[in-house]
Amino acid sequence: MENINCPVCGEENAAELENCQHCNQSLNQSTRELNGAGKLIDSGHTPTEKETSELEHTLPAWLKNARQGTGKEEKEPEEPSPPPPVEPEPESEPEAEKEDGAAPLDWLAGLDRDDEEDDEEAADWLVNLQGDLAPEKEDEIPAGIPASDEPITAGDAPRPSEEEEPDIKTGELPNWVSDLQGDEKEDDVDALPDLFAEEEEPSLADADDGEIPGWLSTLSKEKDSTIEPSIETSPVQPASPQERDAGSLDNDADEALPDWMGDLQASAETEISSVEDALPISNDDDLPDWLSGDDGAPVVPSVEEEKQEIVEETSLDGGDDLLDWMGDSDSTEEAKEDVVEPPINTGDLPDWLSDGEDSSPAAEEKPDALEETSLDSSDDLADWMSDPASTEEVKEEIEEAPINTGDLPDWLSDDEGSPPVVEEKQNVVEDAPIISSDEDLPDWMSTLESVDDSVTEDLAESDSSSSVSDDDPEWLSALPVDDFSAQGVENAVEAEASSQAFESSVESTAGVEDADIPDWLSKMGKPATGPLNEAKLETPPPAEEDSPDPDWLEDLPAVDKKEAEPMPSVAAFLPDDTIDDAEDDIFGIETPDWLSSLGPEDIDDKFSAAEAEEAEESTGGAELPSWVQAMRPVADVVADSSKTSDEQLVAESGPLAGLSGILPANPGLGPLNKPRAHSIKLQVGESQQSSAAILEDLLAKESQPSPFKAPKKTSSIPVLRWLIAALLFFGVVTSLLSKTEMVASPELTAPEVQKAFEVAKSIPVGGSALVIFDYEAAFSAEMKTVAAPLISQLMSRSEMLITLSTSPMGPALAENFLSETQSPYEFKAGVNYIDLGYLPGDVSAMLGFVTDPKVMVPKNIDEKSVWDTPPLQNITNFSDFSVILILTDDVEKGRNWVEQSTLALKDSNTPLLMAVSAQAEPMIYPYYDSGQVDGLISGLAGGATYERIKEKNGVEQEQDGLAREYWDSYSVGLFLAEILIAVGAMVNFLAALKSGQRSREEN
Amino acid sequence: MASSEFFIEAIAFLLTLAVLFYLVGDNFLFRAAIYIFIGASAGYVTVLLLQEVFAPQKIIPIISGSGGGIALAILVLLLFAKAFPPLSKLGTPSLAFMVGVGAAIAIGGAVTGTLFPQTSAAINAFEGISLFEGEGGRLLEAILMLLVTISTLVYFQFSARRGDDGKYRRNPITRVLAFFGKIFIAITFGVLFAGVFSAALTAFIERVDSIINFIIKLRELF
Repeated sequence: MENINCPVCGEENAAELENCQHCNQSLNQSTRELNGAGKLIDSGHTPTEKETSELEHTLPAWLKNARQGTGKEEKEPEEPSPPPPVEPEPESEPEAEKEDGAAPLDWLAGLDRDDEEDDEEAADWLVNLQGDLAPEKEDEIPAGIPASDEPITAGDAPRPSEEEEPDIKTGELPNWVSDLQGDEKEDDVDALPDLFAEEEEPSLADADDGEIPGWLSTLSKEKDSTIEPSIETSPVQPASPQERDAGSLDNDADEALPDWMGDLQASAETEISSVEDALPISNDDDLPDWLSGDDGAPVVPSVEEEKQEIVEETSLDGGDDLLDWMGDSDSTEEAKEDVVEPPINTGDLPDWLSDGEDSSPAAEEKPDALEETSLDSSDDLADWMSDPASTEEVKEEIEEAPINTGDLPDWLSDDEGSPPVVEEKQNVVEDAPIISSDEDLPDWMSTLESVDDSVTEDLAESDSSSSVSDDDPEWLSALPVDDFSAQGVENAVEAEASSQAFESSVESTAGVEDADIPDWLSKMGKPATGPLNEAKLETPPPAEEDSPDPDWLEDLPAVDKKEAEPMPSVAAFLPDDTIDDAEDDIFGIETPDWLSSLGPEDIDDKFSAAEAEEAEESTGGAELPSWVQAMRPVADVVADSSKTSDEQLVAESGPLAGLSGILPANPGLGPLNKPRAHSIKLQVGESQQSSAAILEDLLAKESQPSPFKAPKKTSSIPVLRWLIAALLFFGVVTSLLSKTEMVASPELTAPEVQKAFEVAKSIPVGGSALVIFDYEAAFSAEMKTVAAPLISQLMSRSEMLITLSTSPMGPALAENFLSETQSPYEFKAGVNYIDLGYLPGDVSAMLGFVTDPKVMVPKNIDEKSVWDTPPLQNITNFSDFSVILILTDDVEKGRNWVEQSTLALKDSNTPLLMAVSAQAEPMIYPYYDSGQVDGLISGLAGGATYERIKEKNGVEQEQDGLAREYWDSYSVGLFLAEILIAVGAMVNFLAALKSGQRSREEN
Repeated sequence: MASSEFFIEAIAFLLTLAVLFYLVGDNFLFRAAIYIFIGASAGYVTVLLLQEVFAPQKIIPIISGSGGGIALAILVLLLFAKAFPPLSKLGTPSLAFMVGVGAAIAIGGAVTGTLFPQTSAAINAFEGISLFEGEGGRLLEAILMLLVTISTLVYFQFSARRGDDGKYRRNPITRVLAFFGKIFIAITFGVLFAGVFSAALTAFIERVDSIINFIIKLRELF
């Protein structure tokens, strides 16, 4: 069967029940009724002032009940059972009540007040906690105070305790706290509130039976692993408490202490053990030794640590100013050597607070407890409040949201209420409401103050806080220090006022009898060690015994870094997952969700209008704290912000949702019209269209066949051609028909022609001359004019002509040549000349004939061997001919003959003469120039020259030279040709100029 | 005899006139004269080859049983196979033999008859020149011949390097020599054209002279 804990009283109830069997409160309280109660605002958005009375109905039932109960308690006379030697309760509290008289239950109304109001409404005891009272504190230290009561100051080694620590007045402690002291306090169990006693007794008695409440059993499971070393290494506590507590722990740990307490104690001892030597102790005697070590050494603690320190500090003050249960924490620091027990002014503390011995394990978990004991334990400061281990973040947050304890009820100022704060982790601390005064500060809110005190980082602040009067409890004396430092007010008047407020607060707390403690407070007090136990799990393992200093102290700035060792530190803020919802079940207290999720949406329908009116009346005039307004839903903010959209734009969605003053996505943010429909057609400009058209044309032309451009038809009568032909005809015919030498024979002497003449002249008479007719019929007329004079000369020297041709037409042309040019001699074939015929095979035949003429031409046309005739009988080689004459119009044939015959004729005396056409002269002439050809006659000009040379040399010519006959026509023809070419070139040049000029004009 | 000569000269006259009719364009007379020239040449060549080459150098050796003649006959027969596409591959050996032998002979003749002698002639142009014996003109000719030869050869050297602007340019010296070489080559082409024109003009004159002579003979006859 599943049980659930009442969120109000913490008692176990069956899960089926809707209301608690003990307190008749709803077991299923949630924050749903808070939904919709207000509009959320975002960070950065200026909250609007609200009347807290409007939110009264949003408070959970247990809170409202608590408020009502508080009101009753305030009205009820307090029993001054152990009247603490402090000044009466400050007047600030009644004043606060008077101010809130219109709404006596509106204890949250002043949470959002300004600092000025806070200063005004601050309780004297809270103001007294400021450091400017330190000198007074020093003077008030009695000289004969025992060592155990002497405050441990930073810088001074604690002297050994010579006296036993005075008994803790357990009657001043809440019963549930007194019960935690162990065996020695078991006698005081009866003084516990009924409700608490009912819970504690069975839990202790049934510890072995396994019926321990869940939150106790959970804590007790972790005891075994750490209790023993923690007992041995706790160096801070005086000897007497050490021995006593050690013995009690050894012998009666299971019986006297709850498991979770013993566990916490053990862990605290282990962490404190190494503090002793490394702890820099200030010269301020008012500071307890365990507090003096945090000079300017801000340790980064977690919220849980701070909570532990709260409990620890209150327990360390074993004097009159400390709560009894807090004073008992000294007994857990048994390993501490040479430590002067700080004075415990239990008289200044409420009994329930002074009974901190059993809760000391929680304090011992944190090494910070030692630091805080070094502060002035003289009672003015609540050590947990001056805890320097708080983080900078916490300090800032507290500075931003100072707590006005005066507006808080006493139950809220009780540190017992800190567990909910701790359970909500740092978010709750960050969102802590502004408490304008400490008079109305509930105890649990005071715990927040103590957390704030942890911001104290330097020794100066500690010294200043040590000046609080002895009558003030340490945990309270530290509270206003940070508060004051946060506010920046340090005048003596306010300090005095705060001192008075502190004293009154101590009275109010120390004077609370066990019976006076409301049930809800008892329930809230129990889980106070829950987070401590959890924090203990996070603490590092205990330091070694031989290590005199705790590691965490070595990290302090005052500690020599060289000697310091890495300090096992506790995480400043535990991750969310480390604090699970199971804690709520363990402690029986449900997290006050209303603090984090206050909103109009959570308003439950069940919340009646009557109750709302009542809440309005009770909380009327109050304003909604900004931190509450900041929790309003974003949607409402957006809706509200839309009204002022002209001034500031508020993001409606995205990561910036809710933030105002953002830059608009579209400047102007015109009316939201339907988006303009855009055409899906491609928007093309004119230039692009023209380019596309050009491209299309190009592609189209590629596929089209190009039109055939018909050549211009020539005129049926080519005038120019006829004109040229007519001129040529006219010139040639007239020159031929004139029969006069229009042009003189060439007088210029051509060396090649002259050489040819000399060679022909020098050849032996009666020899055999090889004449090669390798020209075409078209050039027969030219070749006749070129070679006729030379052949005629050869014939005149009785040379046997042997004709040969590599062209098929050669033999016929040879016969025609000889018949026409040598007609006067009447040469007969086979008689006057021998025709070897056609030599097939081109170059090969040439080489073959040069190599062996008889092989290449074995027989002539008539099938008779030519080589048997008399002129050829002595011829066996190519060089055996008397002269070799090559008649050709083809450059290739003439060059081949020269190339193939060069080697054969190189070493012989056989000359090689060439009579070539005029067109072959430029290519054949180099061979004459190189000496490969002995004489060269080319063209009509060469023949005419040769005739003139023959004439000059007196060589008789049977007929006029053919060359001379054609020479006039040739000369006229060349002249006409030259004129025509020149005129034609001039005409073309003028046409080119004209066309160029026309093109320039067009351009 | 005279009649035969007149007949031959008459045919030559007509054919000459037929060719000259080309002045009025491509006409039947011109084409007829061309066909007659080609046909007569082909017939004459065929008869000549059969009579002077094929019969005495190919048939007679085969008939006489000469070994060389049989080998030649086989190569000739294979070469005839080229006239028939299905058997054209059979004539490839004969054709290869002819081309190979002809190429080898041509290259050998070019090296021994052109490259070495012409190079030697260009080098030896200054050989034996004495400036003090009135051979300045020869020296100038030798220098000119050397420059023309080098510049003409440099012109045909088309290798160049890419400049900064991406264009290929010859070496400055090469560019100057190539420029002169181009001039000399142009002159050579001009000389060739003049030679061709001179040869053609000579042929034209001879034909006109033949026409005149025929007309004169014809007028003498009538």
